[in-house]
Amino acid sequence: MSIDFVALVNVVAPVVTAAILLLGMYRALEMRRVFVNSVYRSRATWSGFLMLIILIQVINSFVSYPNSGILSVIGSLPVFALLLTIFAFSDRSVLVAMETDFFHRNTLGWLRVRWPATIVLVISFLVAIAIGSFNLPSLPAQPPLWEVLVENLAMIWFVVIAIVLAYAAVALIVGARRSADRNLRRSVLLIGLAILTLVLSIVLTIPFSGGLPYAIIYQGSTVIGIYLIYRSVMSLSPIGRIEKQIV
Amino acid sequence: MASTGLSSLDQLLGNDGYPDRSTILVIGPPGIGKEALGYWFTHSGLVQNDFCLYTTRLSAREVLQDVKAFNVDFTQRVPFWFSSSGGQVKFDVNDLASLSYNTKDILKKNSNRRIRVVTDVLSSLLMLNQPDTIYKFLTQLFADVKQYDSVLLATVEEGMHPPNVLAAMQQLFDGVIELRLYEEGLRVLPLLRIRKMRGVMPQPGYYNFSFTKTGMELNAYVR
Repeated sequence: MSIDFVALVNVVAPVVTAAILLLGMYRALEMRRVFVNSVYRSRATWSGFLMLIILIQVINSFVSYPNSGILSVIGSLPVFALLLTIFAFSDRSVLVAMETDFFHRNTLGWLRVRWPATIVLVISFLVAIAIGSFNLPSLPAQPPLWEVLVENLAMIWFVVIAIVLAYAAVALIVGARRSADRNLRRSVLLIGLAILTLVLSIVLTIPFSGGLPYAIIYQGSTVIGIYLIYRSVMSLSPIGRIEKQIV
Repeated sequence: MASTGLSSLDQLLGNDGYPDRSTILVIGPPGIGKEALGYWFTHSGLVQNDFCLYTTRLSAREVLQDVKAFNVDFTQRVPFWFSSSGGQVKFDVNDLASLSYNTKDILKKNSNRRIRVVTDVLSSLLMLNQPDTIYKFLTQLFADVKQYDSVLLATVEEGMHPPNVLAAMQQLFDGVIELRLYEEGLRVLPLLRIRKMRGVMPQPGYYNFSFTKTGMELNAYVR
C-alpha cells in the first residue's frame, strides 16, 4: 500500500497551522487583557487579529472557487485581507520600533516608503479584482502584447506584493535591532522573520508547479511562519513559571 | 509606616504599608502597570500632607495623563516634579551629579515633613550608565534618603536588563515587589509577589492582581 505523501502533508500542515493559530489567538487575547500600556495592548491585539485572518485564509483554501468571475473575487478576498493586515501590522510595528529607538531613526526610510507602498498594494489589489471579475478568452496563437501581459499579471502581482512585504519585513528586523525595549525588540524581530518566511514560502515555491517539494516547502515554511508569529506574541513579556513550593 | 495607598497591598504588608525609612523596588515587565503603585503611593502621601517628590524621565504632563488612566486624582494636590519638562526641576538622565545634588537639596529643604520619593528613572539610568556606577550612586542616594523620615519607591523594567544587574538592584533595596505574568496551562496570569520587605513579615505566595476604578484588587492565587 503506497502512501500519498503530498496529500498527507497538505492535510497535516493546515491542521498544525490551525492549532497554533487557535492557541496563539487565545494567548494574544490573554496578553491583551493583562497589559495596561497601550503599546503592548495594541501589539497583542494586532497579533491576534493577524492570526484570525490567517485562520480564515487557511479555511478558505479548502473551498474551491472558479478561476474568474465574481465568485473568484469573493474567494480571493481573504487573501487580500491577509496581505493588507500583514502590511498594516508591519507598518505599526516599524513605527513602534522607531518610537522605542533612543535616536528615533527613520528605519530604511520607512516614513517616506510607507504611503507609496500602501498605494502600490491597494492599486495591485484593485487591478487583481478587476482582472479576476472578467472571463478572459483563451489566447490565440499570436496574441497581442497586452493580452500576454494580462495573462501574466498574476505573476507580476505576486512579485510586487512580495517586494513590498519583504521590504516591510527587513524594516522590521532592522527596526527591532534598534529598539531600546528588549521585549519589543524580540517581538518585532520575530514578526519580521515570520513575514519574511511567509514571503519566501511564496517565492521559493514559484519554480515548482506541484508535487512533494512544493508541498514540503510551502506548508513547512507556512507552519514555521505561523509559529514565529505565536512566539512573537509570547515575547511581549517574560512569562514565569509558578514555584510549586510557595503555592 | 507609609501607606501604599492601596488597602489590599497594605493588608499584604501587615496592614501598615511600606516600612519607615525604606527603599522599595517594584519590578515587572513593561506594560503591566508597575507605575500605578507609584501613583497610588504618591496620592496617599499627598492626602496625608507628606512631601512627595516624583522623579521621572517623562514630562510632568505625560505622567499626569497616565495617572488619569488609573483613576488616581492629582488635581487637588500635585507632587514636586523632577521631570524632563513641565516640572519644578529639570531632569537630565545623563546628569547623575545634578540628580544627586538636587534630590539631596530638596530632601533637606523638606526635612520637617514626612517625605515620599517616587521614581521611574532607574531603567533609563541603568541603560545609559555602567551598572556599578548606578549601584554606587544608589547606595549614596539611599543613605541620604534614610537620613530623613522618607520612603523611596522605584520601578524597574524586567526584561530590559541582564539578570545579574536586576539581582544586584534587588539586593540593594529594602523591599521588592514583583509584578509578573505567569503561565498556568494555556492561561496567562498577572501575579504579584512580595519578594522581600525589611522589618515586615509579608503574606507569602502569589496574588492575582487587577486594576480597578478604586485601586488594585488582590486575590490569593490558588492553583
